[in-house]
Amino acid sequence: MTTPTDTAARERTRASGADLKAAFLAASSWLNANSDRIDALNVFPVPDGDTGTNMSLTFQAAADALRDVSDQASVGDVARVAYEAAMLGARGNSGVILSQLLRGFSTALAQETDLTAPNLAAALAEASVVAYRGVSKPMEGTILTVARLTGDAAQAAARSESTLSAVLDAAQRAATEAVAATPTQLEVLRKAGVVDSGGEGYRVIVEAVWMWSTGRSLEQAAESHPHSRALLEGVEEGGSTYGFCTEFLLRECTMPAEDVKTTMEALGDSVIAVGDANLLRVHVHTLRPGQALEFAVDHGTLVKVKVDNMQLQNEAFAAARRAPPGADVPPSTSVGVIAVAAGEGFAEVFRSMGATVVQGGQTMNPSVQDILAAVNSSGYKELIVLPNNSNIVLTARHVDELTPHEVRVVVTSTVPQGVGALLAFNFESDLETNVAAMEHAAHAVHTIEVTQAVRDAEVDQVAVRAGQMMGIYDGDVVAATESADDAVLRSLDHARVDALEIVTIYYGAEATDADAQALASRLREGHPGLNIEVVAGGQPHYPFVVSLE
Amino acid sequence: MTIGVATDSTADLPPALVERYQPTMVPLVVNWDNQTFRDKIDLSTAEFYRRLRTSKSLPKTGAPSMAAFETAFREQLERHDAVVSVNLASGLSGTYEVARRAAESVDPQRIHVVDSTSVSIAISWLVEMAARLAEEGVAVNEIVARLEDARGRLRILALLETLEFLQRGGRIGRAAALAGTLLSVKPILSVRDGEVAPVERVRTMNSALRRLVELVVAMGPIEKLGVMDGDAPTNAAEVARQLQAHYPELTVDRGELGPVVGTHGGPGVVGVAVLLAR
Repeated sequence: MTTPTDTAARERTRASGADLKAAFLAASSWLNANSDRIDALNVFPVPDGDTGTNMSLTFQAAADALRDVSDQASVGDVARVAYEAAMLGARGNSGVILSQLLRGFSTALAQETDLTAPNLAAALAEASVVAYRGVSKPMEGTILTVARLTGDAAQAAARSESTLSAVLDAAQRAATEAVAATPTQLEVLRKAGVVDSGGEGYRVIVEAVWMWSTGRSLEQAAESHPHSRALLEGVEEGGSTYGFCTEFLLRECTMPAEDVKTTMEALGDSVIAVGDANLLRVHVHTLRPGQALEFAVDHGTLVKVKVDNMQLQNEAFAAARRAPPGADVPPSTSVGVIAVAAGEGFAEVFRSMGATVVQGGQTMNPSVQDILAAVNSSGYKELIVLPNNSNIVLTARHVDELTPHEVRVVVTSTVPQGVGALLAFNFESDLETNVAAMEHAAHAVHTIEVTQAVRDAEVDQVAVRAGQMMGIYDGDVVAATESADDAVLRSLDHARVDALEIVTIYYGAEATDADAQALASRLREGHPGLNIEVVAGGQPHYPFVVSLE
Repeated sequence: MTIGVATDSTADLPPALVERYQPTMVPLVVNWDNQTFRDKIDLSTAEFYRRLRTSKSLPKTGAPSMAAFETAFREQLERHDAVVSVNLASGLSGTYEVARRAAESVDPQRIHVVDSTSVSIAISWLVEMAARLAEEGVAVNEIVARLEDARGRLRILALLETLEFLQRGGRIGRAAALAGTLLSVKPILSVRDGEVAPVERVRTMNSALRRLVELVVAMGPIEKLGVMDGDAPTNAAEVARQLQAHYPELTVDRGELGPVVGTHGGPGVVGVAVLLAR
């Protein structure tokens, strides 16, 4: 990236499309470097916080697309490419909102050749306006507030200042203050002792662009910044036959990014190589992470390595590609159903009922493109998407405008709600009738989720200590106990047990059938006559997900 | 000119209809443990379900022989000038085809075989309609045309305890989409235009019975209504009671699903037959 020198940089009043591109690439790297820290800012002390990852992957999609953009492109074109790629790559609610911020930013700059203090400020303001419009019930104390105050501050600064750096400085200060204030606006943040994660993600982006505008290199910043995440995480090279999500940061790379990408593509897939010779971020899914790292060591200074065993995701992925049972049977209806699910058992439950499964859920939210691909290859003209997670609802809603298929989203926040909705699917009904029936059915299902707290917190009036099992009833933490069984039993006190027709215990990857049977026995002891079924869900992080119908 | 009416054993004819019009019933066959039973003649419905719930082996069904239809048609022609035979859906069984060939060999001009595209009580309605029109002196071609009009308005909804029997018998058709579900669910399927198709899955028997009634009510104006069961009289009575409350002006016919249909539906089936109003 072209990093202007210090003083000259600070006095600039005008920047080209190539400069904006460099700024975006810097922001992508910076967001990536901060993503784990942002992930940790989860209100719920659950191990699936993913705002940082979602925003980072969304922005990375934009950065990746920008690498093909000519240096002669206008700032309007650069911003448009960034927005379009981010929209397709958007993951999670925060990713979708980020793509909307970029949409507003690019709309404001559409006719501009160069970036100036006034149009930059206007673009930051418009970003916030468009993002607010994209959310049905905007809440203060979130990324929206941070974006709005950032835009306001930029516009105020642009009235008196003419340099880009001065506008960005005002913007990043406002962003920092806005993020710090989020716990005073949202009670849940205050109780959890965190600032808003999405707002922090946006602040990090603004900060990166500001740093770029002052000529500071990202590396210097990474070394001096108190927040930068731990550089090295353990490298696992187990005997698994499945893939590893391998990421590394390479300094002083002796090879062009394009060639690094080609090399990585020979080792695996999902290759991303962004940055330049100074700092190159590489992402690859490979069976041989060792080879990828060896290559890295040979071609530069390996700064940071992260290798995740993707065994679970991959097993599930392979199964998703298997033909569903009865695949030779012609479609029974003109309406298809797509369900998002994590865990092979959950995926199988949906597939066994005729739905197409998109892998993802609490730990890895699917992108707009993942769902879009499933829609386009479904063979159905009309489709219903079950997001099965509140953080996937917005992503799913964006699919309709990108495809000739008619796509409707039935809002389901948990897998049991999704199963309940799918059970109500009528093969003989049309799209609208099915959507109405499925929404109704989803609301009739209550869900208990049990997971382990990753830190101390007070959530929903419940004091939780790290390591305790939390019982979550319809999204609210209602119990913190020592055992998963107790968490389920305590959570059940919040349900109208006498009105239940059937209880289904889905046990996760970390629990066994015997564990679930033992839990079922305890439930029967306390509630004789309760109809209980045990099913393997295979979901990560949640030993039990219980459906109450 | 008089017209006789014939059908097969899957029609589940109510006794009153048999007594009033005396249609000829040609039995399908049930093969079980190396024995061949004529449906409803050698094997009663009650005996069949008792055995089905305990037997390790499963029965298989077969269409009547051509000779059986030929004999039946010849007998009818001794008493009548023409015969209308209403048979089990051609999409579900070879019975219609066998009857058609028997008609060809006996007297194609005088014997008219009609594909009911349905089963059970719904066939019996067509049989009754044919017999009544014949009695009123309506011409045979007109009777066939009226039957063909009415069959398009027949609907069957069936709630099964399990899809296992339908799968083994190979009659599952598009309802295969309901199969293989990991959760224990009660499938509701339809027979319409001679085809078994999936409708819905419901989690528990109680909600499934309720849902069955809702699906019928959602069909719009109804001319005829019947409830049949395969050894599930209590559930069927409950569905009939609820339907009667919705349609006080209609008589809710009751019927038992005989051995042949029971072989494919399995025990515990509750079905509703509907003739939609024109």
